[in-house]
Amino acid sequence: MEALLAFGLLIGLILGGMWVQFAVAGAGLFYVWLLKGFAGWKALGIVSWGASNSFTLAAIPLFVLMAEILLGSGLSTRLYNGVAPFVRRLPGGLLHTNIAGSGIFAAISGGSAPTAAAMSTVALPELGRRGYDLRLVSGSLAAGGTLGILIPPSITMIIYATFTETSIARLFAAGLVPGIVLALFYMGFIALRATLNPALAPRDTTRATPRELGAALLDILPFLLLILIVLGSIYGGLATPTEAGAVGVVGAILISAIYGKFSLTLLTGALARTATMSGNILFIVFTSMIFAYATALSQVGEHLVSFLDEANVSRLTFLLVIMVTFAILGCFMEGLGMIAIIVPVIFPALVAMQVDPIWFGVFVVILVELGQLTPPLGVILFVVAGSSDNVTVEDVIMGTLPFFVIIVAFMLLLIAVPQIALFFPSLTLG
Amino acid sequence: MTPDTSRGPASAGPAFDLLARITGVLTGAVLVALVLLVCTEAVLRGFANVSLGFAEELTGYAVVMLTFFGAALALRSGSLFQVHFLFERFAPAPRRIVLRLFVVTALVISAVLAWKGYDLMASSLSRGKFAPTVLRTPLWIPQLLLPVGFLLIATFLVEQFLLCGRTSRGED
Repeated sequence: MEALLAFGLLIGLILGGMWVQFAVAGAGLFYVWLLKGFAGWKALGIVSWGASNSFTLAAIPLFVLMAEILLGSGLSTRLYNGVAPFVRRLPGGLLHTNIAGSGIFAAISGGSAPTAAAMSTVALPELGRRGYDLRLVSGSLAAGGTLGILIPPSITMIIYATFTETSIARLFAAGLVPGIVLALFYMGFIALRATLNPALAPRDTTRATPRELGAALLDILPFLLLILIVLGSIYGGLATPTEAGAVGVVGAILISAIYGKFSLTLLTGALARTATMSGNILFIVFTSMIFAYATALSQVGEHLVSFLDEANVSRLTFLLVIMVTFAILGCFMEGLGMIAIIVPVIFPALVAMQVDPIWFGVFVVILVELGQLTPPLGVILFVVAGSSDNVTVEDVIMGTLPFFVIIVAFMLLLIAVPQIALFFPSLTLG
Repeated sequence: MTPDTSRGPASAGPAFDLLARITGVLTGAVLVALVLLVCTEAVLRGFANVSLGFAEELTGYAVVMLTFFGAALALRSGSLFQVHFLFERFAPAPRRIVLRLFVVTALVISAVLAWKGYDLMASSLSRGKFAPTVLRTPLWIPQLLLPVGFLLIATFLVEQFLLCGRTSRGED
């Protein structure tokens, strides 16, 4: 009963328009009060300290800062131009650049919105000018943007790890192969659409000269080096994700300096945006910890385990129910908050059903991706639509629909073949 | 979730601007220090197998600071996560009432958490608690960030309340 009241209050406050962080904190305080009265609030000080004093969470501002420096430097144009000669002759032409470029940017950015913004600002005007179908362009950009949280580093994975005490390095390794496979699925779909209807994507059939390919490679090389340093140091066990993030920031500064883009204005702008963005994310983690403290007190997770056991619910059914729940909540709730609120409740049930927590982390991240593409609050839809005056949110939604279906199909594949996610962490981290 | 920029004036006065400026500068400085500290630790550990010994501790304190100061800045810039689609359908008068209600509720929540943070800090001070690290930092010093952080957030909530009044006068 207490759980229903607390979750009811939480959803009511969020839908009513209250700041999500305060809605979560308010519902958490209310939940603790319902369970233990005002005496339950005594532990709030120590809960607050434990929730915010974290070395692991420092990776969040560092990865945000790294992406902000690269984004602010305008280097996404260079990345885009570097990828283009390698893919332009494929059916679908430069649309593949949207996916491949997003995949690369995802590996140096922790989030989807920066990834979508980096590619959209370059690709939408360019491909519109070349006569590409703008719905397909925006759909590919939105889909490519979602790779930002699946391909490591990923802020969403750091938050999942915080609430489940799983290894961030393992999660980062587990996200890599599904991210690449999903990107290949997107590219396969684009090639198919363009083959069936070549007017959607006018193809550039001129063969790139070795000189052109060499120049293009030079454009991508610094990004590939940065990826190697950041991810390589984590997978190789040389650095923690937080340390890799700090080294990544220095790497991003060096890249922008090499290309003559670095300035004090760039740095202060990136710092200011990082401060607000990180505060936003870290504060939701903080308030969700208060809510998680209440759910732990209520033992709602354990009650869920008993209920599922008595109802004889299978693992598959449970996962499908989680998929539907996240899909519905994703329509009106922010992804990070969704993880922070729901995962502590369902985690005991997952453990009881012997669902691998690393695999589930990847599964949940893809569910959050779906939420980012779902109106009315799909943040990526707005990022892409906001990048050009010639594209409306409706265009982006229509363009995204087939990619949405691909993501759902990929999730079912991931349920059937969990090794897609688990193979690489076993290989690299044992 | 998009920033709501439709609330009228962004500042309730120069005092709030100054506070936001100081908060911004402090947060930026902590971010730079965080990068330098963690990077130095990573390089020393990676190349010389030496650890500073205090990087993890100070990083944790930096995260506490970034959480609350960053959230205060996000609140002020209107970028704190918010779902608008129902809120924006309200007529102006009920919207103002709901907004004020939200601000007051958020103020109460901040006050409760500031109070609990203060209790923790005072308890650490009276018991003479130290961090079990090389620095042996008296814990009340970093824990001071909890009440101070929530007071900062509360100050910008007060600003939101004042702005709400100005917007309604403007609309009336």
